[in-house]
Amino acid sequence: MMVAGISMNNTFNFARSNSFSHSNKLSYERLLVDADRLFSVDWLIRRLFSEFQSMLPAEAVTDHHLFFYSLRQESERWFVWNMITSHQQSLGEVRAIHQAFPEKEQFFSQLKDERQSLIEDFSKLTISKCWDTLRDDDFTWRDFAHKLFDLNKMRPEDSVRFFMLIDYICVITDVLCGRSNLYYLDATDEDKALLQEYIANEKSAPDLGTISARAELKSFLKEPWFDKYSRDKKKYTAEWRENFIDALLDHEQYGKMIVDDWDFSARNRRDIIKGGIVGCLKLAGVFKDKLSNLGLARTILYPNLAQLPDDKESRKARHKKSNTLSNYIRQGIKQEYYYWVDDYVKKFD
Amino acid sequence: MKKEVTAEYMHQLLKKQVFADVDLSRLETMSSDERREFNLAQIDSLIGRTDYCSTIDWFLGQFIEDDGTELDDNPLYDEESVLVEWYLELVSLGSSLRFHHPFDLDIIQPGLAQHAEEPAKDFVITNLALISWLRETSYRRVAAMVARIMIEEEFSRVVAKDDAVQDYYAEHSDTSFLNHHDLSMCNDYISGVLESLETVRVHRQKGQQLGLNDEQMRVTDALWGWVPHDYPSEYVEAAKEIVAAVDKAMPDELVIRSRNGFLKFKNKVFVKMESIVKKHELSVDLMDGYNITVGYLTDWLLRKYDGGRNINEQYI
Repeated sequence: MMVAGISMNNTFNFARSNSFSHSNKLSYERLLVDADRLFSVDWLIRRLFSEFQSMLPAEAVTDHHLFFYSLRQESERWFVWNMITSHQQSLGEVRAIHQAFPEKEQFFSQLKDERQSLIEDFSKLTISKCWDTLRDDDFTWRDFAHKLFDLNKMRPEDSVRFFMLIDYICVITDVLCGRSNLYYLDATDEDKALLQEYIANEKSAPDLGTISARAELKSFLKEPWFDKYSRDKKKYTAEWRENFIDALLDHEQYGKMIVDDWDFSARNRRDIIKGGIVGCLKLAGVFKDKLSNLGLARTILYPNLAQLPDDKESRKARHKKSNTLSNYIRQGIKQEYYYWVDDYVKKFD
Repeated sequence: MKKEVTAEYMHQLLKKQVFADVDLSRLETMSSDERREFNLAQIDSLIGRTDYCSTIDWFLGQFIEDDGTELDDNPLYDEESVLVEWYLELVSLGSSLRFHHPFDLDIIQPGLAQHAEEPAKDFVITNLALISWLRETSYRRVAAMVARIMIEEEFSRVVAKDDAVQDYYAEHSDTSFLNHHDLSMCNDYISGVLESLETVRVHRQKGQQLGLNDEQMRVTDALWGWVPHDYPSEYVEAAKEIVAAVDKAMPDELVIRSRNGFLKFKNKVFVKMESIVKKHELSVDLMDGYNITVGYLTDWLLRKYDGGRNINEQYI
């Protein structure tokens, strides 16, 4: 009977056109090809959890404006609650597959097949069409939550299916990318030792970008020109300058920005960063009064000017270079960390 | 040596394989109403039955080819009798249902057909008599097949024109698991088809009340990502501006359409679209490599550029 049913099915479904559009097929392919990235939702869960914590006290307070505020956020709360409660619910199913196929290769190939069929189901849901627009910023998940909430009013069964599917796919992706400890449950002692070693190395490994930026900026500030123009040699010692650079690069916002800038720019572009820092220090009052930017730049670039050739062309080239650096120093006031440097210097007055 | 097939043999074969427990002697004395009900009941049971293969397929296969032409070697075509006439009635109704072709609806109940010359126009959601027949009739399998014809006709209107609506239909009238033995599946399918047709009709009506034309509604759907939605005002405004900008940027009719020409046109237009989207603060990323909005808009642009032709994947 079953076989006959299937044959009947096929004969009735030789269908002319009853299918999805070209764009939707491309959308499915994108989900499939980019699955490792699109279904890694660690960041989303972390963000949602902190949102959830911040939402909780708002409900306890009975102020009117807070009450209406929380009403307006209903869709977001609904999304956050469902996302967090369904998080890692499908871990048991993945464990069952692991027990059935304990060998690593078989287990992984099974998981891949499973994920492909799940994504095929997922791509048939309406909401899957904007899943790939989720980004790691504050706004996209809110828009996504509003849209999903609207769809939920029309077809509640679809959203239940959505939360189930998305969790299952994400758990599988975590295992496939090695982020889940599921695979290491049955690891041998040797594996664990290797893993321990790997983690230890990872922590102690030097961050090359930071070191080169740190060392070069420190040695730059310790050059003799600093003492020549410094307002107070006893206060702004070499140690003070080292601490200053450390504090600047350890800052959670500016440090990363400067290091990224440093790593991704060419050698001559790094003069912009140097000039910016010197400009900030100058405006904060570290150097003597009535010091011109051009004079400062000239001393930084050519400490022993007297020994250099004095013909017209080389003088012109030197002027051009020092003019450029003085422009960078002038732009110190435009730097994002200007106010921070100002505060830092004022602390020692 | 092949045995020659006689008319007598065919009669006995059909009687044995298909109509074993049906009293065919009543046919001569039936009124037209009785006969119509009798036909529907027979077709309904044929669709539901399987004897190692689909019964209706076997029955149709004795009379016609897959493309609907008459078989040469069936001796029954030369015979003139009430029974053969009745067989041919069943074949014509059955083949229309089986191959999803529109037919004269008066065959199943008088009063359903409104356009006698163009039966395709009757298979629409605004034909209220047909809708109530689909909901109430006891021949659920026939009703499922009629609903299938309705959605196929709607597809032929929508494909390569209105992608978002096409995807909505494909999602909500899925036939891949439809099994005609199972009456509850047939009922689900019928209600799914009617619901999706009605939803899209209401959605389009809303758009027309807002004063939008077809193109503006389609671009709004593309920006939102799917149908149905509430036509949010910022999306509607953006869609109006996008349609105007694209109309303005369209190359002259005399320019030869080519792949490179389309890419240039697309790049030019997408920059404008991006600025419009930013102006209205929509949550749409048109500079992404691919997402559904980019896909819908690209296909729409290609069709517009090509003068309404079907999309050709080579271009993209």
